[in-house]
Formats: sequence, structure tokens, C-alpha cells
Amino acid sequence: MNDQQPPSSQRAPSLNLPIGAILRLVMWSLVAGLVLVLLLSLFRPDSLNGVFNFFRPKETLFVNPEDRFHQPPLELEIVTVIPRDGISAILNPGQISAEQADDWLAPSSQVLGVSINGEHRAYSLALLSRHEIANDVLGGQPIAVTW
Amino acid sequence: MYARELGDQELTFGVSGKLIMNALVMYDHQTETLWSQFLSLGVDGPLTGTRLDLVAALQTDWGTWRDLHPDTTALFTGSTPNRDNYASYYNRGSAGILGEFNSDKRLGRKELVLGVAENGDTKAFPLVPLQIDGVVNDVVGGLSIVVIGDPSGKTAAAFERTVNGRGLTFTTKVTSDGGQELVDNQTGTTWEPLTGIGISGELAGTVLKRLPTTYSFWFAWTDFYPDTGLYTG
Repeated sequence: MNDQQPPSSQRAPSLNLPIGAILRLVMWSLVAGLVLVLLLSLFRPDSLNGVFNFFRPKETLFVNPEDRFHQPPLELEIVTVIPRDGISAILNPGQISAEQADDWLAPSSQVLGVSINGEHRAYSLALLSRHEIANDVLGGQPIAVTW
Repeated sequence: MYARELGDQELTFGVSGKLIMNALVMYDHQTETLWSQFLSLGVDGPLTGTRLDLVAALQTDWGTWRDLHPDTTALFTGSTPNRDNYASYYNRGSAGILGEFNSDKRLGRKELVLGVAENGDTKAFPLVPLQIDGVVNDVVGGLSIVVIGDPSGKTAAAFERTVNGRGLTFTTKVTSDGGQELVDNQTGTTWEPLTGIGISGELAGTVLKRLPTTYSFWFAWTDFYPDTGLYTG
């Protein structure tokens, strides 16, 4: 005999669970979760990368470089992060003189400097960071400047 | 930075949207081969296994570059942005979006190094000891090289130090105006440190051959080259 059990007639039937309270709990948990994700994405964006990376398409490539003999192939994991051309490379760029560039670039602006066959050109990193790749020709040599 | 020619075929590159160990993967419009930027290597498609020839570059600021080469031009597309999209990423402690692949505690992961890869051998030269030591005469993959740190601590340059079959060793001297001058011990020629141009002395007018280097965070360099050597000053 168990004194602490109320008579069955006085026990709340399972259908009479406090559904409203449970729903409120679930709702507030969801809100708290969303707020947490929002705060993380604002202040610690890197902490969510692991979650995103789980869903990113990936594939393992096996590559035998032409200049690397009698060694096992390189095993490289390649991950798709954005669609192809999601960042547009620079094709057929123009050029400006140093005097013209002074109106745009400050002395402290970071650049990649390249010299080929006596010709010199500066590639602004602020500009390259928006395109990742510039297809250019310098000193008669076609080059790809990448960042 | 690469030459866009393979034999007599000229390639143009676009952004594939894919990454290998946090680094850019390009594709070429002509063959649709995927290329790893860091390895300068075709990794998928018809040109898999092919290497692109590297082109040497100097990463520095516009004022320094303009002083070195007053006749320089600048790439122009019509837009004139001033802020680097990755500015906050450079300053954060974290690795790229895919995380770190090979944690190498010899240096902090975001320390900047100048990486040299020659004949299958690799060595990283961190900018900070380079800034203090000024010049390092070294051998990487059998190639005699000289690595020069700028007093600003923001840039560094690397050249071959064999000129016309003759091995040179270099030292730096501080000039009266606080600048830095490069002198070789064999001929006494004075060289401009960041361009490798002989200014005065026996080899005046000679230009040292700049090495294709990788200016990189330590974590990215060791992800690709876990067995790398490290210059420690």
C-alpha cells in the first residue's frame, strides 16, 4: 500500500496534462535557441562553421602532380562553399597611371606589386578581395593575380 | 600568382566556389579543370596533375611600391574600393571557415610567414624575426636564396643569391636616413632590398631573380606543408 498515491479518482487523467505550459516551454526554448544562434552569428561567426560545414557538399580528390614521382597521390578534400562564379573574377581589366591611382589609393593601402619585362603594376588588395582573381597581361605575359 | 599559359594555350580563370583547406580553388574557362591556388596544381578535370608556372610578386603598401617603381601602373576596373573584405578575418584568431587541418604549435596560427617551396622542400620565414634580423642567407631544396625582412615588419622579399654562377652572401646596413641597404660580401655591390636591383658597385644594374613566395598565415602554410622547415632567427 502506498500512502502517497492519491486515489485514482483524484489523479489527473493523462489527457489533462498542462498542454499550455508545455507549449509555452517549447516556444520559449525555440526563441532562446534562435537568440543564441543569432548572437553567435553576430559575435562569434566562426563557431557556427562546424555546423554549416556538415551540410556543405564535399568530395575527396586523388591527384598525382606531374613533378612528384613515385609517391602516393595527394589526397585533397574539396568543399563547395558558394556557387560557381558566385564571386566574379576580373576579365579584361583596365589600368591607370600612378598619378591617377593616387586619387584612389592611400600610401598605406595594401597592394600586390608585380614586375615583368620592365613593366610594373600594383594590384589593390581591397579590389582583389572582391574578385579573388584578376586575369591580366603584364609585360606581354598573361598572368592570373589571385588573392 | 601564375602565368596563364600552358604550351601555346592561354587560359582564363574564374572562381569555382570550392575550397581546399580554406584556400581558393579556381577553374579555367577553356578546359573546366579545377586548380588549387595554394598548390598551383590542376586537381580535377582534363589538366589534373599539371602545374602552373608561378610569377613572383611583392606584397607591400602603395606608397612603398610607388617609390620603388615611379612608372608603375595600377589595375583598374572602374570601382575604387578601399576596405579589404577580409580585414576582420585577418585580425581574428580563428582559422578559415573550414577550420584548421594540421595544428602546428611552433607559431601562432595567424602569424604571417613568407613561404618558400623549391624542389619539394619547404621553409617558412616569419615576418617578425625577419624584421629584426634583416637578412637571411639560406638554402632551400638545394637552391641558394636570400630572404630580406623590411624594417616595417609588414613585408619581406626573397631572391636567388647565385648571380652568373657565383654564390653571393648578403648583409644589411642601416643608412644615414634610417633606411636599409643590402650589400653582398663578395663584390661589395649595394642592392635595393625589396626589388633586388644592383644600385652601385661591380654588379650595378644586375637584378636578382625574385622567388615566387607564398605570403600566408602559418596555419594555412602548415595545412598544405606539414613537414615545412621554419626559420627561427
